[in-house]
Amino acid sequence: MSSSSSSKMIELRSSDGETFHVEETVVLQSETIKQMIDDDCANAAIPLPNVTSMTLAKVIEYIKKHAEKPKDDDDKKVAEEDLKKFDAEFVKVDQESMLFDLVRAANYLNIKSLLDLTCQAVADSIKDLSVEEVRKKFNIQNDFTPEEEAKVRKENAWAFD
Amino acid sequence: MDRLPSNIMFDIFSRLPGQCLARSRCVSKNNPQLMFPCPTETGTTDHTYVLEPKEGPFLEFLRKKPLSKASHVRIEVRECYELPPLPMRFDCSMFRESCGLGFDASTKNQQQLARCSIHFRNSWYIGHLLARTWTMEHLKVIKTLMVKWVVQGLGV
Repeated sequence: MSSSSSSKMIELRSSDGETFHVEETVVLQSETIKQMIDDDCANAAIPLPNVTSMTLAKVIEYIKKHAEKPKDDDDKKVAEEDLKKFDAEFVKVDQESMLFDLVRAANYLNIKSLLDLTCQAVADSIKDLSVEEVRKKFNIQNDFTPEEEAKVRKENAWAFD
Repeated sequence: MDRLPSNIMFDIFSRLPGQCLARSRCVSKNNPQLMFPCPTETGTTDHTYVLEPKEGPFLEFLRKKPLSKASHVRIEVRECYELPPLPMRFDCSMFRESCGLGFDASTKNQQQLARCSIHFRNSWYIGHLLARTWTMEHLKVIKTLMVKWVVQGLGV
């Protein structure tokens, strides 16, 4: 019973119709999917209308890696280091939009560690940006009048040195 | 590209050092979440907020809410700071009230960024928070003792 349930596969379907088979133990890292399984809604393929196949593949790569269990204490240390390296590499994506997609997917699927990792990566990437660049990055309209903007900038002048 | 959900924006901006954050304030006026990231509401009860200590020169926030009157902010280590209003312009209808500790790298001090309000016995109170310069000593107290802010409000 326990061996068959541990290898149970869950089927996920991305927004563009691709299906992925993932072990239940792995996919439980997603609180959203865990809830569906608990509610017995995971007998058929779980549709994920907000997640594209490209993003979902990345997410699965992440949760698979994070589901690996070290065998003993020595292995544990190595595994932790390895996981750190993996995480660092994982957020080095070619396309910035991919990072944002991963943030959204982690949020939607409610995978806390992935959300944490990706949000930190976004934060790191905007640390040294100018106001204009931040606007562009997050697709934010500048709604200050020139006078208002000058005033706010003056109030926060220490931050612009 | 679609905007990220506002809870995520809070999350991302709350990870920024103070200086970046003060800069972020200038990004847009109708996006208060960009100016004032949300608090971590750990250990909150009806009337106290516990600020979560963070490593490094990060901002620590209470929550934003529109209010108008001034009051004091008392720190539970029995130090009381009465703080003058900020030079910023707030419009109650714009839901722009907030507060935060900002870190000024040039002076190594914590500085005010905004005002705050706190929910206390079913009312919202505003504190003119952090209008004086905070020293590293204060910061240490905050970080080590998980200082609780209690606003003794004047009512709204």
